[in-house]
Amino acid sequence: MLMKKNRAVIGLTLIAGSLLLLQGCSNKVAYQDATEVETTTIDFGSTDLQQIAAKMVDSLLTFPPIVEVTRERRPVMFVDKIKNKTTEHIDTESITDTITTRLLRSGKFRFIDMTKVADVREQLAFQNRGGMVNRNTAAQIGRQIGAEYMMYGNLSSIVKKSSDVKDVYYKFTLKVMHLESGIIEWSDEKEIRKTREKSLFGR
Amino acid sequence: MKNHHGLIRLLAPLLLVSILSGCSTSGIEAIGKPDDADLAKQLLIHNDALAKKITISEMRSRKVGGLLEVNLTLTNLTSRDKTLAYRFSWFDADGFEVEAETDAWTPLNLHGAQSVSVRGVAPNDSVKSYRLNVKGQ
Repeated sequence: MLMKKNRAVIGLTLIAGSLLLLQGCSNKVAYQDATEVETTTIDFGSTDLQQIAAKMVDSLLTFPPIVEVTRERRPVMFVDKIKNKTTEHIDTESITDTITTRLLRSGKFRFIDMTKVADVREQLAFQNRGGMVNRNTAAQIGRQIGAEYMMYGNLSSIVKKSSDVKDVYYKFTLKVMHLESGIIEWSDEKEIRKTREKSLFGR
Repeated sequence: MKNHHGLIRLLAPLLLVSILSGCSTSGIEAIGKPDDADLAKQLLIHNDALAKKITISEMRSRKVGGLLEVNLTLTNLTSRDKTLAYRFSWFDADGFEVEAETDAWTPLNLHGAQSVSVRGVAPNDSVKSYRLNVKGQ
């Protein structure tokens, strides 16, 4: 009776063991939280982007002169490129997209999109000169609102390496300039430092 | 019977590891409703082990340009460095989450016995209350 029981236990253990082994071989796809801290590699990642955007938006929205300007109206801003001065390929437009979206959704700023000027011109020309659109409903040319502020910045990095440690320092600088006067109304920086150490059983 | 004991001995560490890893995802929660005197500051502990090492204090809030700005202090009660992550969530007067999934988990390194202020600004002026989640990494 005891022997039988033991055999059953051994059998079950073997099955469980082989299942574990099989699981190790198969590919597994799973959805993850997009807001989770991501440390897959030391390269620029989603957590860096989210940290930069959060700091910049919070800083701009609470800066006293900007609070004063946005109290009664929603100034119009345009976003220039963020210069990527790092050695990595980083989509800086993605960072400004996040910042723009948050500022817009805060209800404090409005934006114009310089990447769509050609498309808008084509559409306005079609409406006004194509002869197919009712003149009363055609959007008029020359009635767009000019931007009051320009947003621009830099992303730079310092990378240091020794035989078993890699250290990366990112600095993101963002500025807002009043276009007419050329005065910089606001500026802030976000610093991020990451290190990667080779573990004893490193890959 | 001896074999059973052996098996249990073999599996026990595995079970313990899975229980421990289950704990690391929960943490401490600070809930603030500045307009409500009774519920202005609340602290919820989902992870006793973490709550013995980390504490949240000095929950302050103010309005800046109509936006709720909050400032909380995180203190490391141990002498060892701790790696944490925190995230803010924002709610309107009816308790609906505002701009859900906008704020991301932010990593934070706390040295032994160090206190750090974490600051959050509401995404827009409809926000009336907030929640700060802190968890170990």
